[in-house]
Amino acid sequence: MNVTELKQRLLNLVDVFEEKENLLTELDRAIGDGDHGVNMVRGFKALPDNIDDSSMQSLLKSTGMTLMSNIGGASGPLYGFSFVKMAQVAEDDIDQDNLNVLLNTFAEAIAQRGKVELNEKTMYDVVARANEAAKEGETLNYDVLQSYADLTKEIEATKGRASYFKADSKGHIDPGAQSSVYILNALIGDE
Amino acid sequence: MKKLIKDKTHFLKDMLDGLSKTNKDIKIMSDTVVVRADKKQQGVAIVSGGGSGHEPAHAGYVAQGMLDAAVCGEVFTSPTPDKILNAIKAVDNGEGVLLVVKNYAGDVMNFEMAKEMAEMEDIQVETVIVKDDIAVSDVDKRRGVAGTVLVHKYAGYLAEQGSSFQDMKAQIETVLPNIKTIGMALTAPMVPTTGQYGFDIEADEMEIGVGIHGEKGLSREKVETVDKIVARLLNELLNEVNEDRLIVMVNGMGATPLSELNIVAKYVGEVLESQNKSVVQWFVGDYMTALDMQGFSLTLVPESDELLKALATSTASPYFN
Repeated sequence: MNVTELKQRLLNLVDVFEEKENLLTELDRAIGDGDHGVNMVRGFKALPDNIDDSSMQSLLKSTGMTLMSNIGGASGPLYGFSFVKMAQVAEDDIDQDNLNVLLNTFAEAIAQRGKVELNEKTMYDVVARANEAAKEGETLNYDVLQSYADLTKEIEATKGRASYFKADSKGHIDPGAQSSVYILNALIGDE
Repeated sequence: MKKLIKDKTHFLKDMLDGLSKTNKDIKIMSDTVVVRADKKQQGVAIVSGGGSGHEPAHAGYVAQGMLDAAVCGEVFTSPTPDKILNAIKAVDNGEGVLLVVKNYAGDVMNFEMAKEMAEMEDIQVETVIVKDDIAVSDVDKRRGVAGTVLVHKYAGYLAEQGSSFQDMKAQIETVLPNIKTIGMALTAPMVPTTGQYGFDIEADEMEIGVGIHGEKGLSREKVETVDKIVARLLNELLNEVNEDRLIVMVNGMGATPLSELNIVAKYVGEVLESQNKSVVQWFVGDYMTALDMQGFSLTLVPESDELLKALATSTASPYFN
């Protein structure tokens, strides 16, 4: 994937998040405070004015800084920091090998900043599983990513705002896990 | 949705515009950072903040004797590191900047990133994290709620007393574990930015142990009379507070009439007296709200001469008294 392609995919995410805003709001109302949808839309709406496509590294870094400055909450620094970290390891053209490196960096960034492990019912569950699958040479696509988010439904949250709901957090997909499906899908290049 | 707003995307800006128009002692910078109009030239600078919707926290406490800056996030959404960094830079006078952070994942992360960025610019920054909500059993995960306002006042006082940066952090951290709060809600807040209620609750139910964004607490129950609710909440608090002389805050959650807060205070007083405890200082009013949620929280702090003096010393904030 070259800079132009990835830029377009990142810019298209605002449409995705606008379409999914109500879904994310509902998921977040169930086990959080209901602001995840509106926050993601605000973050990606700010992208066209701030995105720098002079190189792949600048593209990812400017995306990270924009998300960090506009999303807020916990997802802002998590997504923002992850994109900035990915910028440091991105090549000019992202092939499968480089994509694997990006996914690994994404997962490490979330783990580091969020102090989170697998199966705590967070976005990390999706990012980490995508990273593992890529390492194993498995093919990632939207449906596979969604299946990772679906796995968060049956576990009890131990991190983030959903953790206050304890056992009641079961039965709902984690909103951060759901939003990370859309972001990862943009990176892996599936429709 | 029936709300006194013009546009849901202008909620924060319109609120801050109104606040700065009517209070000449503050000004707005970087869109969402409230600072004192006259920068404090001496003493540790205090920065707090968090999502909006908790008014008068935190912007209302930017005043002589309390905060030097408040960073205002969107409704119930932590502010971003760049804004927090701007606040730190604006108030830094070389004696250090203390961040007072409520223990929520987003707040902790955003303030931590801002601290790292400020340190790269050679500004001394320390953080104290308030975890006063006893409704969460895991002490490390306890949320920062109404007790945070007492920390703002204490920190502002210490700064004006000329307390050194490291002393001040240590003094505050001595008091922090003694501040205990528990809240309850009769209704959910209407969140103006989504047009949805924060959670679903039946007309005859109440949430015991609720957080300031409507997070779940201890249990969902049929609503009771206020004396029973007060006894219930105090029972939880007194499991953790053994001292006999107490500072008590009865905090409204935003849509609780002052009359009802005073009724709460009456029964709080009665229960404490029956256990041979006395209240040395009361705070009754809206200090840390959850938009228009109906309900209240109770905060107990054992008295100390230093803390009493700090809380009694005057501040220019019109919202702390």
